[in-house]
Amino acid sequence: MHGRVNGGVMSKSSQVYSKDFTEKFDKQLRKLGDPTRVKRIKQKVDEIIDFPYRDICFGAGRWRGKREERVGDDRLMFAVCEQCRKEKHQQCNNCYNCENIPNNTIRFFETIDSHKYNEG
Amino acid sequence: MARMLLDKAIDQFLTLFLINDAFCCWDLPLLPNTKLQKLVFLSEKEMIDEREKGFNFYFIKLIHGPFSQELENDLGKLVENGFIDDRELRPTSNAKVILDDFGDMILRNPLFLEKVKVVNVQYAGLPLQKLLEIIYAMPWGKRRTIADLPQRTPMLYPMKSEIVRANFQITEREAENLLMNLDPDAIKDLSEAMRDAREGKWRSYEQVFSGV
Repeated sequence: MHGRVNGGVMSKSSQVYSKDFTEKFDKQLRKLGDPTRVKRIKQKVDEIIDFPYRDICFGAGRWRGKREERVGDDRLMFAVCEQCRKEKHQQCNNCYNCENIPNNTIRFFETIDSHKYNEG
Repeated sequence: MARMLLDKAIDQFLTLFLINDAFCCWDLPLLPNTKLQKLVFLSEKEMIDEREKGFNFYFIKLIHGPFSQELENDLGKLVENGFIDDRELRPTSNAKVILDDFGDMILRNPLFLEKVKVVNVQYAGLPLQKLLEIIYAMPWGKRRTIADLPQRTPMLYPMKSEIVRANFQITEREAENLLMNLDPDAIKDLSEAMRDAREGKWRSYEQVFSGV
């Protein structure tokens, strides 16, 4: 099943999270060519890093095991390593050298423009 | 009337459900394309008879009976996206993941999915020739059978919204997620992102957001 697991209460995590991004994520951001949109995505990334367990919503199908958050029509697909292990999603995300990545890491995989999937 | 995005998402999901259910119901070595066309036709007809908007394919009469070009195109997409096997039309593990992850939608729509199941139980196990004979002999219009209809006669098409008694229940988010899963471009992007993760090609926050 997929969907929103927990509305969650906004409280800044006491844990400090490190973060990294796939090359694909980087390329997608550069391809956007829209500084305002990139800035909004950056703000959302910062929010996720500060509150990683807020608004938990998992992807479905091929996106199983990845969390998603929206910024306008953009969706950010990511995983929190400790949660990925707890939920046994490692096989879905299949990150290189997973066993040596600390729990307090957030990995951002890609952005998706959802605009073409809704009829407004 | 052209199908809306939402209709396309529902059509492809129901087609996947029907194919999977046919293989679950019967020990089929394969599901011939022509048989699938007839099973979808029968399911859609059952729904339209009850004014239930599930399948939205446009069917016309062709040489082997009811046929939908839209269904044919959707099948091509399901094969291209790796949800069904090209030769046997057997559902792949990707299809099982979709049916599993959208399980809530299946539970929410028994009205539609029961019709598909009943059609599969009655017809999916029949030899194709027998199934065609049954369909040709079905009454259609006034004192006619499907066999009597001229080629290219329109048979089924999406209902006008004002006569619909029940709609397939799908949330906006589910529709978007389905459409994403059925979009080759989105799947390609995901594959590239996953390859980076698998090969350890990561960028730092500073590299990604420098200058923002």
